[in-house]
Amino acid sequence: MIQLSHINFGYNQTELFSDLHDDIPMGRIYGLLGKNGVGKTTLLKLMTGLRFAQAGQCLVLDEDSSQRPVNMLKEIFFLPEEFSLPDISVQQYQRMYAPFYPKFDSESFRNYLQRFELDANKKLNAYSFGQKKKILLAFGLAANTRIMLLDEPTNGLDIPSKSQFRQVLASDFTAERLIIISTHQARDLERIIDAVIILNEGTILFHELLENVSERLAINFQSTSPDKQEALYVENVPGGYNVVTAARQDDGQSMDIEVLFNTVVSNPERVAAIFSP
Amino acid sequence: MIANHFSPKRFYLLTRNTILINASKILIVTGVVGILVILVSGLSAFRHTGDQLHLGLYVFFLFVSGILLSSSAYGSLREDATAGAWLTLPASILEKFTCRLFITSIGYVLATGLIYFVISAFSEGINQILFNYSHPLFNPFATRFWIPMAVYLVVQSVFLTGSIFFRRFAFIKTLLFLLTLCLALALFFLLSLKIILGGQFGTLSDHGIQIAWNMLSSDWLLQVKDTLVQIAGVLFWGILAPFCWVVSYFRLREFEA
Repeated sequence: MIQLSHINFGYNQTELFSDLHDDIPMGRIYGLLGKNGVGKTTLLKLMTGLRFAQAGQCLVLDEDSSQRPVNMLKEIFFLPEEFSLPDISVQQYQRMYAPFYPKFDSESFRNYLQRFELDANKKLNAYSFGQKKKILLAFGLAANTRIMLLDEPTNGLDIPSKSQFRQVLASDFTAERLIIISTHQARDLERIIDAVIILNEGTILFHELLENVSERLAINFQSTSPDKQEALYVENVPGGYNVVTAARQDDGQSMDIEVLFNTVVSNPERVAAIFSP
Repeated sequence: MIANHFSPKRFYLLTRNTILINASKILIVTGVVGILVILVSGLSAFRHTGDQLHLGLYVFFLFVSGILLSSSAYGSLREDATAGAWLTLPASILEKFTCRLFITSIGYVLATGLIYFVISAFSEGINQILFNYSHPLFNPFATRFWIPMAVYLVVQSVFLTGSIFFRRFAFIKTLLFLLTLCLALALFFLLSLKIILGGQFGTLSDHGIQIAWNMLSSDWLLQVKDTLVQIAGVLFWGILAPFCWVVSYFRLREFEA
């Protein structure tokens, strides 16, 4: 579990997080959503101990992340948006870094590389940025860490690779793990995440299972202008409107993540009221 | 709990990885140094001079390359793309710190001593064949190398600390810092003399300095001078390096990427 306790954080004089407070349990794949500059990457860095909270505490698997204890680091794999890899082969990379992860499974690593159509004998720098990202992802999955933090993992991936990414992540996920995927491309996460965290203006605006979202919010197509009192969010589409409302018994359409994000950000109080116990 | 802070296995892995990743750079530098040593010792052998050649050359390369290496020891922390990977690698800060310290200090002295021995043996073999003259072989275990090696170990600790404090141009900035510190100490010393010697040290003219020197030759001032030299010795040999290590370690602990 990751516990964020009353965290304050800012860069220079600009406050980014104010009294950020949340518990993120194991066994789920989270989508971490937010506008540009809202602090998604910073939040992941606080979790990995790359940044320190100015007030409050971030506990990862009961360890203070700012201390960067080995017991925590060997259970976390962080895939940053920007990275640099040494000029060695994939196999050498595995030989050099796998021993740091006690649960690393070499057989799984080979399998993931095959699924991503990558050659272990090639040098890392011979691969494109997207392919390097897939190598790191394969390494992270084979490391069997309990927590994976992925910062914009689909950036730089082509369309087939995005599909591979989703399949690999969803198929090998277990209840002992926690995966948090930060992205501003919400549609890339569809069908793999089962919970969502939305960051906005220094706080966690929304933290829900998608299962609950489907139960409480509904999206419907209307060809006529929607009732503004009832609608939480309206999106113009060809031929009419997509309208988000509180769910009724007969609503069955699953919520589009991008629409959910826009609904929460544009109408936080009404959404909060719908989800309050 | 100890394994959480220091594991010899992880220390070995970190050291091995650092060397493997930089293997091509190490080979290039070794090659360049090798060629320079062969050329210089060949020229010296041609003239049948330079009995102490390898002592001078080794100490020169030890300091120049060693200090440059120490100044760039934490260069990977200056770029987000590499800093995150290094800091989140499952090893403790103590292991990461001691790995860098070992590679730039004892490990560097041992490795360069061995490499230089091989280079000197090779170059002297060539000299013997070409000029029928060779210099004494470089012996890294000879006692005359110990003092320069010890001085290097102290001096490099300052540049290693500079490497973690200064974001860019760590070598130049550390050098400037040391120069500023020396100037400040010299100024402090002169001001102290002025206070002690009062009106007899009104100016920094030759006459004033001569008076000061005469005063310093008096018994109690000679004692003060000896004590100051002893204090400076203790500070340099006993305090400076450990102080720099401790400061570097805590800076590394607090480093954010």
